[in-house]
Amino acid sequence: MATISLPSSRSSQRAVGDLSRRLRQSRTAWIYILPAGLIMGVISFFPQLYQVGMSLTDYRIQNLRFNLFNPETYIKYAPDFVGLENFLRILNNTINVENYDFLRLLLFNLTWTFSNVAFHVGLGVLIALALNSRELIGRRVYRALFIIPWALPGYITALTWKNMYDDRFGAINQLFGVANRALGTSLPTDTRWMVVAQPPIGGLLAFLPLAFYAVLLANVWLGWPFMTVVATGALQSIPHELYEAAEMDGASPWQKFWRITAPLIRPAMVPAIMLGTIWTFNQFNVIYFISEGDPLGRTEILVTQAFKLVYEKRLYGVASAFSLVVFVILFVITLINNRVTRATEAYDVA
Amino acid sequence: MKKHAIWTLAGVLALTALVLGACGPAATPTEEPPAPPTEPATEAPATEAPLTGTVTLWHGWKESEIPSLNDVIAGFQGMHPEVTIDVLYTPFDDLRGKFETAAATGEGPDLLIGPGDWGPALYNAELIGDVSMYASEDLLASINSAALGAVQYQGAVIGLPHTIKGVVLFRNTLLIPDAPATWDDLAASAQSATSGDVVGADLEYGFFFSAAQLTACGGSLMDANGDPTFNNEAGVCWVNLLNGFKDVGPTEYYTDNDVNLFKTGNAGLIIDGSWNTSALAEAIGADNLKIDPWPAYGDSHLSGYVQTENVYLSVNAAPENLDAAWAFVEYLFSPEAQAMLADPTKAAHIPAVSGVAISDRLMQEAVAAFDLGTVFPVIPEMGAYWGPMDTALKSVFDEGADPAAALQTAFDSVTAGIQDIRSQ
Repeated sequence: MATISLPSSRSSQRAVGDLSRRLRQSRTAWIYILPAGLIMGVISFFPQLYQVGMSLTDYRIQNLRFNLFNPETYIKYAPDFVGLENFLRILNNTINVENYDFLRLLLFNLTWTFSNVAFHVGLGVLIALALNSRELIGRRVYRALFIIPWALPGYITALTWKNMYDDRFGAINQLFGVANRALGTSLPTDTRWMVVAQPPIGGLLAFLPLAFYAVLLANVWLGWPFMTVVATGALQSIPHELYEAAEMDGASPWQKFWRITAPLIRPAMVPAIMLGTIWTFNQFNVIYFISEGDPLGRTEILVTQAFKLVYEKRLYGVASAFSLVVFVILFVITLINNRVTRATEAYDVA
Repeated sequence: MKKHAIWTLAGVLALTALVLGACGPAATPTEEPPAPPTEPATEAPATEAPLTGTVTLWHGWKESEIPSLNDVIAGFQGMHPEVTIDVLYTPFDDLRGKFETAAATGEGPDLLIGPGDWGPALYNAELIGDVSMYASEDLLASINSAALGAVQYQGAVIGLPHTIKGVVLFRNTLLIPDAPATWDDLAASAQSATSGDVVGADLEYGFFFSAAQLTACGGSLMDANGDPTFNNEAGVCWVNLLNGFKDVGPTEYYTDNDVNLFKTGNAGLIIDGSWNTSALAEAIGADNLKIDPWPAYGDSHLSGYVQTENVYLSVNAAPENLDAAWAFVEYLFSPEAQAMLADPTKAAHIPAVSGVAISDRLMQEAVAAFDLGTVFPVIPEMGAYWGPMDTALKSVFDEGADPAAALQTAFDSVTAGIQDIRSQ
């Protein structure tokens, strides 16, 4: 207390006074956000802090009786503190889990995410452009229909696709059979989509089994409507006069897209892409219900692996550490995405 | 190999005792005077206050089994109208996880019905209790001794076995009239019955359904301590045998395609659990359904796992409901309730209680098939086998991996897993 009253700390005194004044001014705002802040603290921040604590322990099923607020449970049920061992075991592949390889999981997860988002955005914008054409008859009907994949519960879609990929009774193989009979083609009708381990494409993509392309197709079908909705909204806000002026200047359709459309839908698309990246990175339903990580864990993603650590192995400590690793990876991806797309900059300008 | 043979012999003897005991007459009365009843009687004495409370029961029974459970509950409530039985069905695949999580946090049911192999792990995790202090000597004496032996663990009785279940070979006699005596007969009759949409055989080779086939090659999965013993010539023979299922017809790895195909009359032979007997009989007609003895294979025979299903008492059973819960357990093991559970049109449970007659032909055939079955290991170490063995089998079946190499990888993983289990 004495230090802030010294003449030499006049600037500090000024800063404290400034802070005090700002706090007084924002007191009403603090009161308004207090209830939400308290609730967030209890249901969000505390569990996250608790999870950080769990990640440093060998928390297993027998430790579930441990109660932080009941000292009587400390001696018998408190989990052993293991420091960073869980993180090291995750990164060194020494968790006793079948087909576990962290680098392969991460590589697959990133490939899965970026390939999906690329298709979602590409198809989404393309279809939004098509639906934005004033000459298109019944475009409102199309827009309503194209929402269906997005509006259906994810696990229902996933289970439907899983049945479609059944090698003996699934619609896809049966459709190939119909095509063979009708068109005289010789498409394979007994493909075991989720089982074949031989990669259909070699070289750099040899780590991707056939099941990857199958779940990619399902998730592309599931994911593009969201991008179409966002892009449609953005497209409708572009003044038509801009296109007319460009046409008068002799701009080609390609030039109009890159010089007018793309820059003007970017502020809407960038947050959608960031959101889509996070959603796809953690797309549990499609992987868990369709491929189940098969063949031999090669289509497992980080979030399904984390689920199996909890649900099948009951390794709560390891799973907590695993989730923190996933969080860090997603955080880094978001930062890079932010930097590359200059999302924040776009908002500052606006 | 000598150690394996001893273990196999012990298993076969235990299984024989289990199955013979299940079909046997009531326990022979001894000359000793009956012990005075110290536990709550099945019927409430008129002089005592009637039982009250709510008993929570969790199970994962199939649709065909639930009417029998309802009959048992109705029978119990007829005697104890002030006891409420709160039943929660949970899909079998989710039941254990749901119970573990709930019980470990002080919640969950008073009673759990689940497979016998869950017992040791649940007991080690302090989720189920020792029932020896509640079970009367009469009750314990009424249970088949081999089945009772399977629930005695670390000096405690960790549950009570009420039925015997197992993996068996089902046959549709309309498609394959004669029971195959050997594996070659099975393959030949399946191939000749295959035509159009009909398949002669659709064999399941998921690890649970196929592990007992090690017997056909003279091997065993583990020794008496739970340490792996499959990594040898017998193991390679076993994997090659299973891989040969594909030559007989379509195969399944933990799917219901075979059962569904069988129900539509389009599959001649399938390997599945005896718990599906009544559903299959209803679908194709009981007269057309047979459960065959396991066919011979070389000097041995094919086989399937045989295990008990137990009633477990949760450590969280509410003290005020304990008397009612235990009265329900005792009623479940009464001849009256066991007869309800053995109803061939409903649950069709093969009783683990002595003295309950089995008159249904299919249940008798199942019991006969269990004679060539293999006792399912009821030790915590079994938990280390599932993942590695599934991976080994899938890598051979789907990727064409070398069986010996796949088994070696599985052996290493199982060994590490067992160390992990033992260190807890």
